[in-house]
Amino acid sequence: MAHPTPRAKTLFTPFNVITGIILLAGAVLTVLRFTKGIGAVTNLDDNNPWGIWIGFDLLCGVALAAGGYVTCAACYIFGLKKFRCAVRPAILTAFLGYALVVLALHYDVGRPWRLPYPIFFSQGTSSLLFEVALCVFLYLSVLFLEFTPAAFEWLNWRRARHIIGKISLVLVIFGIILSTLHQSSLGALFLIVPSKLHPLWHSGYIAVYFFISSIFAGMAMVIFEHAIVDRFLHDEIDEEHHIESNTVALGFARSAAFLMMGYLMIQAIGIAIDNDWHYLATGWGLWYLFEMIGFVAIPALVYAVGVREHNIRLLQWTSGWVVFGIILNRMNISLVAFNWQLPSDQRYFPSFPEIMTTVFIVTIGIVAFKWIATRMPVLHVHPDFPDDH
Amino acid sequence: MGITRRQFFGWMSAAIGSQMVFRPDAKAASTHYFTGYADSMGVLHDISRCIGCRKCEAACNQVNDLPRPERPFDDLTIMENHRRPHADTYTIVNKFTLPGVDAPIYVKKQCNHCQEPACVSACFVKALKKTKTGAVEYDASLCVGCRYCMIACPFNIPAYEYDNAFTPEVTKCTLCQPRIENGKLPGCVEICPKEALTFGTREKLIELARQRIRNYPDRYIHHIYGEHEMGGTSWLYLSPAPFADLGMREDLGVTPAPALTSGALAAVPVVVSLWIVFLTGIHAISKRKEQTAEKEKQAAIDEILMVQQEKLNKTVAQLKEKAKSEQAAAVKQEVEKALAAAEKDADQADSASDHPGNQEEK
Amino acid sequence: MTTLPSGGPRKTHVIPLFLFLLFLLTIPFWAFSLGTGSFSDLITIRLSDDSVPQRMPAARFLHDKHTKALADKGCAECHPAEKEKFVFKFKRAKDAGYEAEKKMYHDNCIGCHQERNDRRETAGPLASDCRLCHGRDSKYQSSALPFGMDKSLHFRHEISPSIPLTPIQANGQENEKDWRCGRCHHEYDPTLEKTIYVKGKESTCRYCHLAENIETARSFQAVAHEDCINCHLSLKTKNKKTGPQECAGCHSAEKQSQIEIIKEIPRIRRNQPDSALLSLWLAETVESGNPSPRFMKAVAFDHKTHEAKTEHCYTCHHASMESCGKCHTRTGTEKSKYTRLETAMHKSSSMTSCLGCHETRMTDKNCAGCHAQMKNQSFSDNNCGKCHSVEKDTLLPVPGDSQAPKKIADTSITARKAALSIKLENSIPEKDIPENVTISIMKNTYEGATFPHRKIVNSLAERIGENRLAAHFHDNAKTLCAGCHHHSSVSLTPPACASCHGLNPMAESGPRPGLKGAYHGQCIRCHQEMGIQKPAATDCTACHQLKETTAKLSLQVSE
Repeated sequence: MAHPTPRAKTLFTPFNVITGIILLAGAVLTVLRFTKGIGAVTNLDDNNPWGIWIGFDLLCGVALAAGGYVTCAACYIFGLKKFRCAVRPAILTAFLGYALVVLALHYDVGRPWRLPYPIFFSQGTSSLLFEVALCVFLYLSVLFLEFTPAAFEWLNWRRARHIIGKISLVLVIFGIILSTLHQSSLGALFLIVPSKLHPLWHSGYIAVYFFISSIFAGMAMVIFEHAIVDRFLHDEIDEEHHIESNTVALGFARSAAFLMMGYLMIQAIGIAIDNDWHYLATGWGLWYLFEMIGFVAIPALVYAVGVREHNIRLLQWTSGWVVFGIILNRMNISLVAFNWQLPSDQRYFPSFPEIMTTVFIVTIGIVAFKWIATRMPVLHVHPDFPDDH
Repeated sequence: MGITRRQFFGWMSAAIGSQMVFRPDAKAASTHYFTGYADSMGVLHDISRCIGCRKCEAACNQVNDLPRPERPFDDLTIMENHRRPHADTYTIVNKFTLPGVDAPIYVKKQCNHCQEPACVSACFVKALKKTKTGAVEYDASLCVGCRYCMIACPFNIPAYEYDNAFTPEVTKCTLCQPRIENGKLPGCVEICPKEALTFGTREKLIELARQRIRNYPDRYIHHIYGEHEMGGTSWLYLSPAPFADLGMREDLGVTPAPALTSGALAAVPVVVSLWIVFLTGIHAISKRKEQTAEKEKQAAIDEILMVQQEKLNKTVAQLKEKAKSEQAAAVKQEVEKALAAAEKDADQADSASDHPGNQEEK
Repeated sequence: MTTLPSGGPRKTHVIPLFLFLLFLLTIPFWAFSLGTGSFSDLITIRLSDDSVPQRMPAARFLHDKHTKALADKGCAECHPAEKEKFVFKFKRAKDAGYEAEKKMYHDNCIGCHQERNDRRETAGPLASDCRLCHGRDSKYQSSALPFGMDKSLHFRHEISPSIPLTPIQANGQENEKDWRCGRCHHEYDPTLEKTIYVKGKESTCRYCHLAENIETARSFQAVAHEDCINCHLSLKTKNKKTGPQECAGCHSAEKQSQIEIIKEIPRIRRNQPDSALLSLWLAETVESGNPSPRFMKAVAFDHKTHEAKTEHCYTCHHASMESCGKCHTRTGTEKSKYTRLETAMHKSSSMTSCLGCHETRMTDKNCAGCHAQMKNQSFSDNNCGKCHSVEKDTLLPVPGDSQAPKKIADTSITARKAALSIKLENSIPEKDIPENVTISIMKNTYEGATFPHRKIVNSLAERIGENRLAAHFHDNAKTLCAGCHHHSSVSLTPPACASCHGLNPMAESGPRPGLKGAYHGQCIRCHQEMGIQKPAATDCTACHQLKETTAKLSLQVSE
């Protein structure tokens, strides 16, 4: 698979067959979920009301979609023009990520048709989930607007393209504010459960942990995603994107290395403030150290080595590693270390249909990304709009 | 690479800033604090009185029109396993056999109707409300079914109708709110043969509990569970054995749930205002740097151009000078040559007409 | 764990990761290493100087196992003898300091183990097995029970033919032979600078031999082991009947249960009084010849009866065999930590006080049915006159001889005993006790409950039986009625429960339970406290039938 996949002449490429099967299975599960109820497809119970649809689809989905605001901030706020080529793929990923988060929520909540309630009908302002809901809703709209230039260019709507170009800076600032708020609030959701979440993961700073980790998660995702795109959608990438992607990788990897070290420091501060050191000597402590050292400290060092040696390939692999670390962190907080005091027979493990539904939703994202990236000017500059942003 | 450093500093300041505003104890510096609604009602559960007859479970089932369970309520063997409330059971009685204590101890479990409930503060559509009567009321017509209330509840009380596809609801004890409003006792309290449950205003119940501890100091652990736990609950418990041995967590702390999240919520407007300033500021700085760089570049180019121009001018002038002198020399030479030739010619033809060389010279 | 990167980082970072995983794998083994086993002969070696910080947990070993293994060599193999008595320290008569002792233990324990090991005999841990002795785990737990001399064992020593009679020293001469008291009991005579036996001064070992060694006396633990076991060992060598010599003999639950118990034990002979008149002002009165009008009536204390009811003298005489008032004076003394006599006698949390001990009697199954339901009474609620019953007048005219107070006490006690009677028939005619009572005031889900009222009353009286303490405090048999018919004055026609207990209990109505709670509370708690299994508390129909009109499964909850 080192070579780019040739544009499909037949419908039955391996990619299409596999995604087809997954989408079909997903459709069956969807019918099951919406006719028989959540209980029919999940292992959720009264002690474990949140499963992987929240732990993975929501928490990881949002964290990994952070590339959008991080890249926008780097390019438009910090004025790093060379990062511009990374903006559109990042925004597309973010937009799709958030869209899928909202899609997954339709499966997870009991009455999805009421999802607009908190925004339009009855605002529970004392809830951090309200903050998350509002921000995700607004940010999804912002991401949509931020992505429209690519669509307008594709459709060749010059006037609309021009107007949206005028407000892009406002959109970027708005997007960063919203991201800061809801990335951190996702962590803050767990502030209310000091008695249920293991003390090593629970901290008064958990909102900050989520925010900081979302930044380097976003950076890693941008680097990692380019590696994937480079491999499978090679033809769509123009020369400028090719060259600048290396600059992006080096820049982001260097910043991420610093951030991850800073992240470790504030984690240590959190443990010190609650005086949770003694937990480190337990099995939970080892698992925590495994996460912190194996998926934050070591990748940060490898990033530093990769940057020094200009080893783009190493940076890309490490980004995958970091992405996995973020998934591990979010799953630890929402599932593994949550309800840690319950006896093992009352703990949660996802059911097969639950996992398949998640796979289904991720697949939709991949298909959508491919569809858009092969049609709209995402990975290359539109010839008619050469220098516009 | 200075660029990345700038970026890093930017994010560092963002991190530090948010650390400051997300501080767990960052509460409004105010002396006001909430101690519950005056005259709100509650129930005192005297665990030492409970005999485990499950009459309360039966009454709860009846007054709430819940489906009849598979095993009847007089089947007491069901208590061999510890249970928790579920979608169709709002209350259960658990049996605890403690080492060194002959008689088993029975503990009723249901919604504690916290003074400042975690579920209420967690609900993002206000489907849960703490009423002035003390009950935590659930409004199914608003509920989206996110189940954050179940996550938030430190007592693991709310349950969900997972098998209901179209109208699933969160379920929990209602404190028999409709009955209370009609001046009746909650179902479980009314049926309890041993008066292990006493209904009344929370203030009175606390007084009563203290009085019981004073009157029977050997019968009770000298602690009223629920007086301070999680900021206090409307249900209060007296026990003959340590609460932790009876499945009641003693490590919940006394901070009411809303106080756990108030700091993070208070940070929202601060983040919004500060970020607008920071981000536009950073944008302006980087833009200005860009402009300055552009200007400096232009100035440098201008200077180089000027120097080059001067140099050019000089060279041109020199060349001109040189050319002039060279020309003059050449003319002189030519003149001399011509004179010599003319002399020669003149020598050759003395008597000839005018000299062409003179004309040329003009 | 799938996305470990290939290439660069894998080579360098796989090792720590691998170590981590390995570390994680070891977690379950920690749990398995915690074995169990409890022994009554588990001894923890404490070196004489415990101020030295120690790197290892103190070593532990099983003493009886060693005794058995070295049976043919005897105690001398480990313990030096001094004046024909074994010193129960390991290989030394005197403490030698931390380093020397540590070396000595290591050399001798391991040395012996090594020798046996070399001879291919079963041997204990060797030099390389540090943790087998210095283990931190809970593999070995001590199951040793505390042991002390009770009245029965004391009496068996008094009459044991194995123990020689002791000459009594009186006026510096041996003139009389008494029982065997002097074999153990002794006093320190500062003039002779040695311990001697003084007849009539015997007291418990614990007064002088305290928990720790002090300058003037060994610790009680040391005394109990050195003196008891040495005596037992010496009798054994003389082939006489003797007591245990190994740890388990006294400290294992099994052996303790096999110790012979003698039921009929005569009073200990120490010239103790049969009775005493307890009053602080007595001495003052005797001196002045005029009883002060301010003092509380004296208490006639039946010392003899209390002797029979307690296991040890030191149950009450906690610090000395002197009379209480010696230390607990009107104002208290330094020796009594300024606890006054009044407090010493009435502090309910103290088991050496009259009140404290008497109150525990109420938790007896036969008493708890009523008493567990009675609220904790403050001291002022008690009837002082129950004990302070010696009228001041009886002291007039103030007796001249010192025996007079005792005589007055005796008289008072005799009179009191004669008056004690709780026989129901003496105070309530049977016909006045309703035979059956039906409670039907609040029929709802169930019919009314009929219960055998007279049988219950009789059963309560029967349960109290000959208990004189109970008889003393329930002077009127009608007091028994107050067990249920409480708070109103004792009467044959007590008010109905519903006069006070309402139908709708709310916290607002105060601590009084509602009628339903009152009935169920009283019946069920009494049955529980008195250990009456039937009917079970949850067997509703055993007391009242389900109403026929009540649907089988529905309860009558108000609609």
